[in-house]
Order: sequence, then structure tokens, then C-alpha cells
Amino acid sequence: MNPDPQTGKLAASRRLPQAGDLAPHASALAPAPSPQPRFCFPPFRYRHATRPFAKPMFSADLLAANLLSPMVLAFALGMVAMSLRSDLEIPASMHSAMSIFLLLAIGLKGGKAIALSDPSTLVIPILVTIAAGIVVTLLAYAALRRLVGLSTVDAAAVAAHYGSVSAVTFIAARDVAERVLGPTEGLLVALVVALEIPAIVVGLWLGQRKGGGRLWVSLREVLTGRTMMLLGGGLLIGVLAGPERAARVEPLFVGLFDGVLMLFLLDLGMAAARRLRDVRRVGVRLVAFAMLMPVVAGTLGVFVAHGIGFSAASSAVFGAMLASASYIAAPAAVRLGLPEANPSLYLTAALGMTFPFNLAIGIPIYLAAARWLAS
Amino acid sequence: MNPTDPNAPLNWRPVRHLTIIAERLLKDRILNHLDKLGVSGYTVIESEGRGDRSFVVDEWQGDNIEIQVIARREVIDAVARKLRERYFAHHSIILYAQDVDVLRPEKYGAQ
Repeated sequence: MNPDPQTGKLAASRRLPQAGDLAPHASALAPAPSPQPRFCFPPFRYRHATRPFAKPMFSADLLAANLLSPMVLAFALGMVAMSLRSDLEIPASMHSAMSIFLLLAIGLKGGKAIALSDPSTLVIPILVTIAAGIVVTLLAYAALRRLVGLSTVDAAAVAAHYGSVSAVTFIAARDVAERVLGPTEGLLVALVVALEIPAIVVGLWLGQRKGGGRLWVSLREVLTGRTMMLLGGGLLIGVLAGPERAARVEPLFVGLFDGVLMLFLLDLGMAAARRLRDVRRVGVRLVAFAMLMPVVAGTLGVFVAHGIGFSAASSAVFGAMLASASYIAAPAAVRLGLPEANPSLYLTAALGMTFPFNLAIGIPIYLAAARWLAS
Repeated sequence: MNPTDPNAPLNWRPVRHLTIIAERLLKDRILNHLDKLGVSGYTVIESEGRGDRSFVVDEWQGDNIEIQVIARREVIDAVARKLRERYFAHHSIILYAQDVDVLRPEKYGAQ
């Protein structure tokens, strides 16, 4: 995707941070770029260097910025607690309350940012996002059919999850990207909303081609589901209220956000560990898929986002969005739309494997790719 | 018959009591079926447990729901047929029924 004159104009009008702008945003965790930045794997290749944090590549700084955040550590704590069979339990009602809070808060923040920008600049990113969501779903479906060897229905069900987006992966990626690479675009939240739907529609269509016609029934489930209502609704409230009026609710939705997110990830760590118990039942090829698909989709996402003129930080977050697999909206829609698909396949892969993978390893990869592209 | 008279005879009438335990995701659908099939009331209880399928798709709203219905035998049978047709093949759902006696049969559509 080469930037055409139109997208070039788009980038200029939105004053996206350019490669040269990276240095002012970089925190202590991200030192100034070296004269010849390089992109390299494996991650610890340069650990022996005298100044380990001196080079902007896939190295200790990105991993540390990601892994040592309280949220990721809380997720690990949840996994450990569950594997030690601790009596720690977060009530389902509290989990619902926290997911309502987080989704509404993300929506509000995005809406506030969009209120400040020109609405016409949203069109191309949203169309690109929808196209990317469809491409990733089809890619995942082909890989699941050919390489993993799942049945049509199971492959379609899992593909719907991988084409869709996980809101928590998005938040985690945005959090790290903003600390390491600088501010991200508010419109990314609108793109999360846009990315949620197409994959589920394509996945259900792939699975239902031969059988029944429940597509619209399950589609209604997604459109009226809590993710869409809260994320889309929050976005709309943020846009309509504008930054000044929205400031009144900021003590709750901005001030408490990180703390609630940490609690939420503790709970999610326990949920992921519960799913992981099924891992032996799903087969080694699906495990490999759950680790490789995010890297493929994430790298694709970073390149696409760079191509339409996103900043390095926003490109990394967009990569993480494409890499992530939905585990709130998609499972419910797929369960109702493709009831014959095996839920332990998609739940174990999306929540038990891909989510922790992205949280620990995937996000630093997308950050490194975005930084490399921008340099 | 005066219901406030403590010595009035208790007029027990036979009806059927159906218990439905299903995955949380099916709640709205099942309640919709009940309304359409002429059930006059029900009780919904959040519950959790384990069965031969043993997975939960939407664990953030609670694992399962238990729905208690009292109605005439024909209505209970119609509900059971509908749920069997729709959900037995691919969903987590359990039905069991028993005969119970109630005092005010008209509340449950019986006589």
C-alpha cells in the first residue's frame, strides 16, 4: 500500500506524527534512535551490548515496557492463581461491571478525539479497516482448512474470531505504544468498532453457506451486543458532548481507568488459564495457528496502517488490533450462528492462547515493526 | 370460598412443573419461546455447574440459567417439544418435569 496523493494530503491535514517526531515523544524507556536503526530477531540478540537499551529495535526496552506494566503483571498473577488452584474468584457481576466501564471509557475517549478532527478524514481508514478485517478472516479460514485441517464449520467459527478484534488487546497495545512511541490517534477507537463486525459476518457466511440461514439472527446479536452498544455508544456520546462537556466525567472514566483495567486483566488471566486446560484437546496445529496467525495479521496491519499515513504508534496499535482475536462479541455470535462448531476450539485459541501471546510477545513485535517502518 | 378463612379446605390441583437448565446465551430465546407458547409466568435463577459438554461461552454473565415453569401438561409438552427441536442437538440444555399440586390453578392456566 503506497500512499497516494490523497492519503498524503490526509496525513498532512491530520498532522500525524512523522518519523522525525518520534524523539520528542519518546520516554525514558525509548532512547533516541541510533543513526542506523535496524530491525532484528530474535529479541535478545543484542543483550550483550554495553548499553542494552541503546538501540531502537526489537529488544529489551520494548519487552520491558510491555511486560513490566502493572496490567500485564496482573494478568500473569491471574494465570498463576488459577494454576495454583487458589480460591481467588472475581464475581461474574463485577466482571460485567468492569467490562461495561472499560468499553464505555474507551468509546468516550475516542469520541472526544474524533470531535476535534475532521470527519472526512475518517472515511479512508474505516474502509481500509473493514477490508483488512475481511482479508484476515479469509486468510485465517484458508489456513485453518488447509494447514490445521479443521472442518468447514469449525474453520469458519475460528476464523470469525481471528478477523474480529479484542478490545482489551487494543487497550494494552495503545497503553504501551503511547509510552514508547508517542500519542495515538483517537480515530483508532472508531476503527475497533468497524473491525468488530465484518469478520463475524464473513465467518458466519463461510460456515452457513451450505446449511441454514441464521446469518441475520446472529448478526443482530453482534449489532445489539454489549460491545457494540458501549463502544459505539460511548463514541457517539464523546462526539456529541465534545471535550469540554465530557471533561465532567473524566475523574471516573479517565482517572480510574488504569486501575480498573488492572483488575479486569487479573480476572482475564484466570479466564485464560481456565481455557488453557483444554489445550491438549485442540491439537498442536491449532496451537501453532494461535501463535503464528497474530504475527502474520499484525505485521500486515502495521504495514497497511503505515501505508495510509498513520504514525508509528498508531500503526503498532492497528497491527495489534488485526492480530487480536475477539473473545466477547464473536463467541456469542458464533455460538448462536454456528452452534455445530466446537466452542472449545475457538475459546481456547482466542482467549487461552492468542490473547496471552499478544499481551506478552505480539505487542512488542508490532511496536518494533512500526518503529522500523517509521525510521 | 373465602381465602382468609383459616379453616377453609385446601383445594390442591395437579399441574406440571418443568425445570430448564441451559447455557446463559439461550436465556432470551427460551423466554421468548415460553411467552409464545402461552406460559403465564416463570422464575429465572442464575446458576453454575458442569455437564458433559462442560464449556461456557459467555462466562462473564454467569454460567447457566435455570428456568422454573409451572403450567398445564399440554403447555409443558409444547415447550419441551420446541426446546428439543431447537437446542438439543448443539446446545447445553437440560429439561426435567414433575407433577406438582398447586392451590390456585387459574394462575397457571389450569382449572
